[in-house]
Amino acid sequence: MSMFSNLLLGLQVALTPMNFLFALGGVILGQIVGILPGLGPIVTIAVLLPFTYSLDPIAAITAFSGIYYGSQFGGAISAILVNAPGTEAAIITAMEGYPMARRGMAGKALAAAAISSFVGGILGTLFMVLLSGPMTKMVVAFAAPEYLALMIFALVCISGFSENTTLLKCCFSICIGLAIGTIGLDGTTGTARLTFGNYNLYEGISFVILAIGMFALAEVLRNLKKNTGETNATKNRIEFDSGIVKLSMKELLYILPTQIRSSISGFFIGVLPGVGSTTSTPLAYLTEKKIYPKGEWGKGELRGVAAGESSNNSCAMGALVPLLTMGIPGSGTTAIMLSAFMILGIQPGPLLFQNNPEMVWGLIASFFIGTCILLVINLPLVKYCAKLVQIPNDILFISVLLLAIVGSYSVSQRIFDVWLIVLFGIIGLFFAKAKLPLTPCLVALLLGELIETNLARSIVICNHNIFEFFKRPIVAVFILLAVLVIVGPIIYRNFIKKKPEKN
Amino acid sequence: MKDRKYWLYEVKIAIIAVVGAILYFMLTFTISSKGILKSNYNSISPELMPRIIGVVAVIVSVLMLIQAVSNYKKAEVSSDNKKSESILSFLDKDKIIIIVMLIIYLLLINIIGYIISTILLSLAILNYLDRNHIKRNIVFSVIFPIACFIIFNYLLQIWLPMGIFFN
Repeated sequence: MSMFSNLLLGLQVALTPMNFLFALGGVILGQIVGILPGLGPIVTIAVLLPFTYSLDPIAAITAFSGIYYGSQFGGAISAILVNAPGTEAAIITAMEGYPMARRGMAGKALAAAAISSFVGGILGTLFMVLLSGPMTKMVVAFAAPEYLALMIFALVCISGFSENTTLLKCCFSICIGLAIGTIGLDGTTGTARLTFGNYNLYEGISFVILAIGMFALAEVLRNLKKNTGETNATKNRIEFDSGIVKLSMKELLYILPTQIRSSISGFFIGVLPGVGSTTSTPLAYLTEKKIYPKGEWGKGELRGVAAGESSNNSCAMGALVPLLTMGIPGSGTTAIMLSAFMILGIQPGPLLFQNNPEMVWGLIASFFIGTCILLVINLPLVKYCAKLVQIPNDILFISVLLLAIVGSYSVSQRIFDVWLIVLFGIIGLFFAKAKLPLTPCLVALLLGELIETNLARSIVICNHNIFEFFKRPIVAVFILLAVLVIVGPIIYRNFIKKKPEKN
Repeated sequence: MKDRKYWLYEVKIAIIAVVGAILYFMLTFTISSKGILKSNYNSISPELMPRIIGVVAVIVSVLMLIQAVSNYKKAEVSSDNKKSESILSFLDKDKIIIIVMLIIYLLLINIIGYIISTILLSLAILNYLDRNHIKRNIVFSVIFPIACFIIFNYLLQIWLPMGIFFN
């Protein structure tokens, strides 16, 4: 019953005109940046953070969450209409949705994407409501050693599950993030560390600066190129009549089982740190392909669009569970959300649920409302959204550049930070070229300080005895899981997979 | 398949990583906890965490180097005679020019103020990229920075540099 009353309380908070307006603004903006290739929620939130310093925290967080899950919705539109997925998670949608659009069924594909995103978002939020209660009860018992083990587990997951790169490169990226985090005054003693006597570095390097530099500025530098005629967006564009963005009852029932299955798998993958929609969407897609081998896979299968979008939106909600209940980010996007929370003076975790229920449940209720708004925007207004793809590249990215400059300046009102984003922008380009993943570095910078304080407390709690640390049952479980994440794939690759070759 | 040139590039990256890691590890020795009473930090001294990170970074980067070198030895010699990619290949001409413009901008901003320098930056970049839409470039370059300035200075009370002309 208490869950129901909590949600009612949340709805009261979320439906105040101010919060509702911010949710509306957030999801619309999220939708827009989701449509535009190259811009994602990380870049947007990083650049917009300084605008919110003077806002009410609940309103600001509602807006940021709107950007976060709204962008998952928007990615599908450019995936279907121009075969240019606005976000990584929309790649699966492009695989099935673009062929549908080529066959003149763009309206159906867009409708399926919007409805599947809606189902994924709503089911994901429902699971979040159900799971966050028990999670917070468990986490309340955590002391410093358990938190330390959990953070180590999170970092290991981020490197262990990463794709398109090697485990070692991920580990090195984490080391870089942690190393950047050690610059500045040390939290417990106030000793200046690695500041080279430069007083600008005493505060350390802000997470927001790193995110703006490595994500926003690197993206700007990558995209500002001399005009070379036709871009992908104009070449692949498909005209469609907006009157037909709907599905028949039969089609709705046809994709419903897919939506439910993909939402469930997407959510639980999202909860795991380090694994996100780039894993969950292909998984959902391949599962559906196995279940319905007779479908028109690859040529425009409605179920493919449904699988990708449901899984992707539900996964985004799942990723918010460890963030809200434990204060642990599992991805680059949730890391920037966490830093937004911290800048606004909110510390996510079990205590937030106890002390500030109106904030947490208001936020969760706003997810329900925001997802409904997105469905309403997407079905009738998708025609106008699709026009966004036509914004010239140079105008779009120079706007991002100028916003990044003022945004980084306003973090501490000094030009030094703008110099830093230029430096990190160049480093971000190098990372991309060297196939060093950016997300682990970003998450590690954020977790670095927490790891150090919890390490200090753990040493005291465990009486300077490392065995005391491993004797704690929850710690042992996390460390064991972490070892499994690293060793498991190696054993699988070298011993289990090789057997058939010998036979 | 990935040939030797590919792995040579990976070897170069690994070498940079090793050098960087060792440099960071050495820098941790500049942190001194001298003058701080042991009771003030009790369990963890300020240089402990950086040193752990340094050691892990050195180990990881050396493993990267070993992996890259062994893959290089196993890989086939490439058929064409092109050289392996330079380590600076991530910077092409457009990027360098824009970065230089940004550096000049940052040097000027405190002198001539946010508005003028930003209008100049935006004009310079837009006209460098696309000379065919000069009107559009000018309109954008004037309106956007002024709008930013008004929003930040008057609505958000974040004071952007004014420069010597408007003081």
